[in-house]
Amino acid sequence: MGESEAPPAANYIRLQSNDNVKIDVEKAVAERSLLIKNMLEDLGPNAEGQTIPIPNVTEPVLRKVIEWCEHHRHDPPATNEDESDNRKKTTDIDEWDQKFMQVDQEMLFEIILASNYLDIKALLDVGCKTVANMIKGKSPEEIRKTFNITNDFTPEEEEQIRRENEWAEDR
Amino acid sequence: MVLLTELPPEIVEHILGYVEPSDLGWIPRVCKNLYHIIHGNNSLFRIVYLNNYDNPLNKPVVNWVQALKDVVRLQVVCRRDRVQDKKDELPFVYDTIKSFLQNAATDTERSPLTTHLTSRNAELLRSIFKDETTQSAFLCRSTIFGRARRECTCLDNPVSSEQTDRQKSAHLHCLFGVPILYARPESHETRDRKLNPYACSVVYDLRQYTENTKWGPFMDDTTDRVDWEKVEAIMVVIGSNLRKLGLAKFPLCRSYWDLPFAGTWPQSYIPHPISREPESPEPPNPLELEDPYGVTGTWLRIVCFLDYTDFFTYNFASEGAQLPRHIPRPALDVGQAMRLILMRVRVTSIEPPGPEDGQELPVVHFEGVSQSLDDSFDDNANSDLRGMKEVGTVRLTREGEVRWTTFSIFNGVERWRSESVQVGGVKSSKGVLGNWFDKDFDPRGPAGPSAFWKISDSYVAEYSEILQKYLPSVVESSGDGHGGEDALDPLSYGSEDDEDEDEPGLELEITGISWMTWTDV
Repeated sequence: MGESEAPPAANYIRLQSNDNVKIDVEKAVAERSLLIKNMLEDLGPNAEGQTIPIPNVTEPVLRKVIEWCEHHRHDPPATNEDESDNRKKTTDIDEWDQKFMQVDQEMLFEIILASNYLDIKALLDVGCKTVANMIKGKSPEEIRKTFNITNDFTPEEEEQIRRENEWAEDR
Repeated sequence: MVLLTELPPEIVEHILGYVEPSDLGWIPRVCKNLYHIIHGNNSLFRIVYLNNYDNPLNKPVVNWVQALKDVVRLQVVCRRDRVQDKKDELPFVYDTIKSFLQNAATDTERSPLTTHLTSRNAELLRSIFKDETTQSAFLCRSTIFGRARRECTCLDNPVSSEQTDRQKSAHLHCLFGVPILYARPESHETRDRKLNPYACSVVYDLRQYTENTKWGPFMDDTTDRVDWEKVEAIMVVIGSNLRKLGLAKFPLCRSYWDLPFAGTWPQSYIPHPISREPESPEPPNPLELEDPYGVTGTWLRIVCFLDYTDFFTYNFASEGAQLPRHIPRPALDVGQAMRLILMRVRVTSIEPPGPEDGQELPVVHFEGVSQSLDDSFDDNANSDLRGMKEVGTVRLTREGEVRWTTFSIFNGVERWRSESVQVGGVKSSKGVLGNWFDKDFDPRGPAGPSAFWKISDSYVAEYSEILQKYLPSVVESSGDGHGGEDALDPLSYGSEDDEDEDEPGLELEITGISWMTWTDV
């Protein structure tokens, strides 16, 4: 992968991050992103040799996203999953993805935002599950600490919300 | 740096879709932003509900927020340590479990070794009710438990709320489906309080069989509501007989009498797969397609009875016989007999419900044969000659319970009748519990408890084929004559029955065959 101005190799496309770094990616890998896939389809034969700007994503995040797409390049393509399906327990994350997601919180959120923007459903799911696992089973105070959130309730509001949510009280 | 709360709301919602149900009660307390995303968010609660529990296809309209909160609160309540801290929640626990089972799976795979579907709802209830204090708080509150614990029965002063609690507890016990045989499940030291004699004092008390009840397990009034205390007593009597004979541990009976919440919800039945003989494809009967109750097929039936002398003495010639109507007869601890019967029936006609019936479903008539699984398992001396003809109906009661009536016919003459209730509702795999009695309601009896549940959708299979395919556990065993209790005793359930040695006898009316394990296909 280079930042040279020579055109990308055959079957490669060139992405440009919001900090103007150009990254050459195999077309099949980049197409894990439905945004890019649709864009390439729209461009048709003109896609060859084009540089595609990804204005919402910085270079480190884009590289991370590409790493994920490389690893998952042979996964079955994303389908529009039917929400009414009786889904299995969905918080399981495969081992490679778990390791992949061992990043600081900022990077984690950036990956989630990027996958949302680039329309990479499976990566968005993994990211969201990772955050959900950081929330599960925690008390409000522990959640605040984990995510650096300020308690913005007045004591009265706090008491009212506590009462509203007594149904879950056992922690 | 981006904060969780600064992510777009649709992404935060996506994240929250993966948390546990109980987390939805805690996250709103973190900050206003999260509070507003979660508060009253029906679609988020729906996603979390479906991620964790069964998809309630029977009931497309569900208040997901309330449904999820109730299930979480059910777990919270049942996690409390002491029986007395749980007890007061009976009405809530009852309503929640009932609707949670109503919403249990109808679109899943068969649970191995059973004839019911897998269900995350049932699985969760099973884990909640492992706790014996929870059993004690909610399943052991009926009159027979009170009597077995020698508590004040308060029968002179029937407070209606207590009566309601007794009904709810008995109903929950039936939905639990595994008879609890001791009065205090939470206390392992005082296991001497056996429930069965008190249950027998209900099911063998002819005073319970009245015109209003049509001799079935119904209330003694004109409402035709189910009397769950009677159903519970029937379950306890049959269940303790099955255990005493060591039959409850066999897969054939286990999924009905040994596994909690096994198929006690509507549409939970799924046939056990069998390799059908290809040359006998049954012509599809249009009536069967219209029958909402799934009548056609083979059912395993259990009938228990007292020696008639004991029955008569208990009802007419003993100390307790003269007791006023509202005082229960004393505990009854005498020998019983049990008969296992294969009942093969099919739909003969379907009619609209009558004015006295529940209006949502039709009345289905059926007929067929019943064959005792008794001596000389011999296909040549065919069965049909020994069997008796069976006719009957299934209908809904006005309160929506499934009610079965059967008549057994000997030599062209109706002899026995039964009135039963299907536990878990329409097409539950749990099957029915009820009473059998003389079809003319003979005021001298006899009468007793009966149960049947479906083991196959096939009606036409040969007797031997049924035995081999559905009950491969039944094999010929020559020459040991009465293979009754002696042969079966070593297999008796668990170790808790060790103290049973001076129990009154129980005769199993299967001779010449023994039971082995039932292997799944």
